[in-house]
Amino acid sequence: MRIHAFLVFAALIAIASPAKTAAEFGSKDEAVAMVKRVQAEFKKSGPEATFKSVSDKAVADYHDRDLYPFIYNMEGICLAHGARPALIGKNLIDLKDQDGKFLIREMVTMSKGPGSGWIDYKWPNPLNNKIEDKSSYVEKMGDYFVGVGVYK
Amino acid sequence: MEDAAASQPPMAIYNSARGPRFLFGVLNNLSVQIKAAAASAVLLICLLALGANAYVTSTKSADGLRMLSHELEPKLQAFSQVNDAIVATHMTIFRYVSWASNGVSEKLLASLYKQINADLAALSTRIDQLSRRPDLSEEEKAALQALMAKWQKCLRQAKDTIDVGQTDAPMATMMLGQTDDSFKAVDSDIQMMSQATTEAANGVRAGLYADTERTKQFIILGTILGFIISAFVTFIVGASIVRPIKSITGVMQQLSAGKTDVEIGHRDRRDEIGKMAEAIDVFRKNMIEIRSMEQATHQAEQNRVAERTAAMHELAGEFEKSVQLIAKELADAVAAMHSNAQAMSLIAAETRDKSQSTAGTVIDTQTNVDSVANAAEELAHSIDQLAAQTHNARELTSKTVAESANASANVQQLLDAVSQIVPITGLIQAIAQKTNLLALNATIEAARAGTAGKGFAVVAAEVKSLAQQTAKATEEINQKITAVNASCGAVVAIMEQVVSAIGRLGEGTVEMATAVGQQAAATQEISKNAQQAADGSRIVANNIVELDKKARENDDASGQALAGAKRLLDQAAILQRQVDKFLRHVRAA
Repeated sequence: MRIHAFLVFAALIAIASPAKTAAEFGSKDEAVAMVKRVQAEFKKSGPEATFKSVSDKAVADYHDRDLYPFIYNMEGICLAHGARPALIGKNLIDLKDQDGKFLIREMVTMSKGPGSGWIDYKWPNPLNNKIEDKSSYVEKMGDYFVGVGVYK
Repeated sequence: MEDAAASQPPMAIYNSARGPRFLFGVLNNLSVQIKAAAASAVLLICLLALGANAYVTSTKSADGLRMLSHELEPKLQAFSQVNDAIVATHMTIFRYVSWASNGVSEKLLASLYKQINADLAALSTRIDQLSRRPDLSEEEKAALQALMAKWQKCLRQAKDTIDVGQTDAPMATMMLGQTDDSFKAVDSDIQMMSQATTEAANGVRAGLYADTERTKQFIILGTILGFIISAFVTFIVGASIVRPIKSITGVMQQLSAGKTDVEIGHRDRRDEIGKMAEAIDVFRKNMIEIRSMEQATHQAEQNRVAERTAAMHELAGEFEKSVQLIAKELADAVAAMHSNAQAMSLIAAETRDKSQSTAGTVIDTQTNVDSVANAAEELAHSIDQLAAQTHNARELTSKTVAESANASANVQQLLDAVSQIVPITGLIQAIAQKTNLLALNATIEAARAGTAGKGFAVVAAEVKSLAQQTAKATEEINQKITAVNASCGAVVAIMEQVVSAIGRLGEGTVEMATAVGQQAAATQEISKNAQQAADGSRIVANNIVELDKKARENDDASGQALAGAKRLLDQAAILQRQVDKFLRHVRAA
């Protein structure tokens, strides 16, 4: 079963990837795929290894153009961040974007509720350090949630 | 005054319709002492009220001021300082993120980072100190507990922000939002508490101001009210004391001037003035009573005097009337007596004269009778009988005379004496007649005797002549006596006793005459009869002498009577004068 599922997933990626890789910014699908990769590693290696590799900019699976994953627990404490390592260990549950949206709280709510989904907010783009509109796919992952977003 | 009204609320309700009059009624029944104290009491009450108010207000003000300066102001200052520090730190964090975003040197950033941490630590200490303040309320304590939690979060976020800012300025900028919120939350709490404290302080200030304002109003109002009330009370009390005292003084002056018909007011009051008025009224009533008693006594005295005077007058009148009557009667009687005495005196004089002449005649008769005596020896016996009878009569007459002398004084005696003469003369006359008859008989007998009787006839003739003379003399006497009797007509009434005595004598004489008459027939008894005649004539002579004596006595007596009557008249006049004088005195009294 596992092998079958993996094969289907791999085939899907193989079909989609030529179109996406050509783009300047990562797409939503790529973002979801990155989340799945983190989930896969999380399942495979456990939280500590996953947090380390997510935060390590050298790991290419988790650092593709403007795409990077982030992991928080349900209290809003940042455990791993693909772009901004300064945030690791900080409680950002009260973090607001420029529109006043409590984005971390929404993510927690989303994770506790439907388990996954898309959330729009503003966030600094690591490529130019400009705060841009972002749409992130968030998915519950054990006691945590993991998300990857695209800048619009 | 207010006290008075308050002390009798039921009455006040009862008589509320009477209004001020009731107020005066209550006031009039209060003692002067209470009234005098009323004004001072009102002032005292006002003063106490003002003092109490000032004390309470100043105590309250002191408390308020102490609360402001010792509790609220320092607390507010602490809040303000915390607030200032929060704002300053907040600003510093902004400055840090700003510096970090604009690539200020690492050194400056590091320095600012240090300063922010120090500031945050100082702020923590400050907030901690604030939460430990002893003058916090429970609400403030609870609020500070909540603030502490918020502050902890704020502190963490601030530190996170600057930590992130050291390496990731855009993210620090991104985190400023939440730090802002946290700081605002803390600051808002601090400001709220500060606001609450400010409001509390404002409340205290407003309270102080209101208290002060109220105290000011109270003092003004209390002063004015106290002044008005005490002035009013003073006026009312003064009016209720001074006015009645003035009127009572006037009444007392009038009373002391002796005027009792004055109206004494204020007696229905129950205070000292009422009692005074009552006492004065008692004085007045006593004065009236004493006066009326004096008048009654005076009236009674006058009545008594008038009654006594009237009685005296009446008595005097009656006395005068009776005295005058008596005096008149006396005067009349005396006058009558006087005139009688005069008449009697005349009669007595006449009688004396007559008796003197009779005496002469009787002496003659005596001589004749003596001559006849022997011849009339027989007659003498009869005459002795007659003499005895006559003696009886004479005794009776004497007795009668004595009685009449005793009974009716000298007049009576005179009349008796006069009366005595009448029977005697009658007797003498009768004897003379009988002697005459005897002489006639003797003459006849002598004639019969013839010669032997010649001498006797001469004697008889002589006797007869003598008898006739005697009769004649006696007739004269009788005539004179009749004249006396006629003169004494007025006295006859008084002489009834004598008359009756004489009447009785007359009867005796009649008896005697009868006896003599019985003897008359006895011729033998002529001599005796002659002797009797002689004896009789002797008796007559004696009687005449006696009569003369009596007549003299009578004359004297009548003179005395006259003198007595005159004296009596004088005395009566004196008595009349004395009575008049006495009556004048009595009437004058």
